Amino acid sequence: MTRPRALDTEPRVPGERASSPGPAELAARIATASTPPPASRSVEGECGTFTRYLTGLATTPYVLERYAQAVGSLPSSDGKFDNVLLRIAASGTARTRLADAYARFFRPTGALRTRLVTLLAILETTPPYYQRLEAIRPSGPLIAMVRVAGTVAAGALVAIAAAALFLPLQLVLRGRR
Amino acid sequence: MRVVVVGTGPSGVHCALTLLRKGHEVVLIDGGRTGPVPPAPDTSFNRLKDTLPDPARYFLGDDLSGITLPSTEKEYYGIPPDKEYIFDVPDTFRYRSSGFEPLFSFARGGLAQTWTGGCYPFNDAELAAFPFGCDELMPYYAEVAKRIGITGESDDLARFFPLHDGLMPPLRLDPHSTNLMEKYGKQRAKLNERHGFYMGRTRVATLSRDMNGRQACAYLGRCLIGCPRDALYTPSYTLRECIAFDACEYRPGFEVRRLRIGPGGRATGVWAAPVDGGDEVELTGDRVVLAAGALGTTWIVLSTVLHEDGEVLELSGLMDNRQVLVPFLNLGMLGKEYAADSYQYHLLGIGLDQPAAREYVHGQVTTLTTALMHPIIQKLPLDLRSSAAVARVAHAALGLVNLNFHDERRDDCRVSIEPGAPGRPPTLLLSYVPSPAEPARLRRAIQTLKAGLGTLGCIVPPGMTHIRPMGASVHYAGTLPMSDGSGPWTTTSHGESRAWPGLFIADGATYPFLPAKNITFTLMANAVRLADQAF
Repeated sequence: MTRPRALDTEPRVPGERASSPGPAELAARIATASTPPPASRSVEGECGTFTRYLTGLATTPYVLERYAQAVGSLPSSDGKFDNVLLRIAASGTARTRLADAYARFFRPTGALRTRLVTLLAILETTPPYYQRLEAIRPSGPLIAMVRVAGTVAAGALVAIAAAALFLPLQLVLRGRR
Repeated sequence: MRVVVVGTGPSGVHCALTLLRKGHEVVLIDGGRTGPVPPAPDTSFNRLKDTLPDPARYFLGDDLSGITLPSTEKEYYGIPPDKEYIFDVPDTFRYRSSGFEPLFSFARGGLAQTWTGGCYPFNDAELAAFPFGCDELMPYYAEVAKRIGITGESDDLARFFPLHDGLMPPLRLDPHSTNLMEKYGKQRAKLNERHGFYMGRTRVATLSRDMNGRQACAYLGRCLIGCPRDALYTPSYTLRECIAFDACEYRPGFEVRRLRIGPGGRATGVWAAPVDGGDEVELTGDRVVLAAGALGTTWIVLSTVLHEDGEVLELSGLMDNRQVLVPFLNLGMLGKEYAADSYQYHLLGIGLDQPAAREYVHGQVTTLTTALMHPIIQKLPLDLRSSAAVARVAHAALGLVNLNFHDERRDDCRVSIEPGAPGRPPTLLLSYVPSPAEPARLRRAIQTLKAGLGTLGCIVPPGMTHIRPMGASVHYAGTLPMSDGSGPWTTTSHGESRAWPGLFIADGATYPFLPAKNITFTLMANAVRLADQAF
């Protein structure tokens, strides 16, 4: 028994084409990041970083196991920029936020965003992360609106900074054919 | 009398139960797919996360395919892993469609195994094209209410839904729904008079008190992932009742391929094949009831015509309810904690009055309580950490109105088949073209809804209203309509085929018109009517 043939629900991550030389200061990083990192060690590292980024908590073997399982079933990305972004994001939570903010607008279905959403889905079903994701200091509507406005403003600033940082890099990598 | 009933969805099981109670023999056939039993029956949605040994697998599936990825383009149904079995189809099943995205089921209980329980009787205006009126259906609505348990009350929405006997007290409101109803109470006159906007309690097949071995809703927040207390009705419960009769021969695991046509063109049974492969078998009876869902039933009829006459027939009149999803933010609920221990489906309904009563627009309000949030969080235009922070503050304030629109039979909405390779069943072909009047109708209703929600202190985020594809509501109907005429591909008021005597059609295929309300309750009531009056 299977789904009907016309129903195609397989997740897809569109790949990108290879590209040509870019700014010197990025060359070294690109050289190491343009091939997909070996699975296990890099996945463990990015899972730890991404878990801290999303919840502020350390990851657990259980989360890592499920994350590795999910990532293993995703199509691998052969896009140079996607791999660069992923490697940068995995190198620290502040960089994760920048890369994520950029990916939200410019690589919404790329490898980084796909992996972050995958981890978020796992974390929201797993203690203690789900409590952390849902924790709220109850307040009245006005204070809540101020909080939301503050979060949105901060998020917008991060997105602007991320665009300034990553857009040239993406354009450069796109030009390298 | 020995009756072959094809399908164990809402129409099939209620027709079969009525026949069995009248003393007939019933052969009941379905695809037989079943799902797992929900774990930990007294545990709430969030407590499951704490207590299950592998919670991610339970909520997201063994292969974690329940994760909604950013690249997912298909219509989002939120079907949890435990209910995926409902949409499994045999390897031999094929379809092609244009302008229509259908769902099919070969599950025990059919597609209604994953319904949301809305039970809304049709009124006279909506039944105007049917060969019977509301008075004739009312006792059968009451009978079904007695069988399945429906909660609700008489309020402002009663002007749209006739009141029938057998209603249980309504379910407990969650804080967000309470907030909306309080504001509606204060603004009621303005909303009614200026916008034709009415709000009230839904009528849902979810128990507010124990009934027939099923337990009342305990507000565990597990409606979507599978009610562990059997409080939310599904046809499999009535199937259980049917199977308990000695006169019921239950044949799960079969796909009916075509009718068996006897002397005089009379339907005398069916040919069916095991869904996992194997030779066709013949199942005979004095009469046949097709209740395989409008598309399944139509496919069987078309396959029979192809087999008997070598003709590829095309039937028109395919209908479905257009649905529009309108998310909203109730500003008065911002910053509050969401109520995890709540009924998860629709507690409130919205009715939008229309100049022509049959064009009534029906809305169901879901206040967001327990749900996986990653599909929503990833849509916000921020990095995920900021988006999660916004979602936390807004969770208790989020809601969704699912607007439903009526549909009419039109010649350019068709169902046909394409002959398969030797030994293979035909491919189902579907084509749907929306009415030219639809865009204006949708626009007007959405504007009215937004105005009404605005009066209630809610805002609709721009750009987030979603018009679902045809087929998404899974209220398929209209291909073999009941009529007073004499066309061979029509049925009598009892759903008896004019092409093949002895064949009765008990599902939505016989509807000559599709009101905006969920059709499942009327499917059940009409199936009981048919079995009561024609057998």
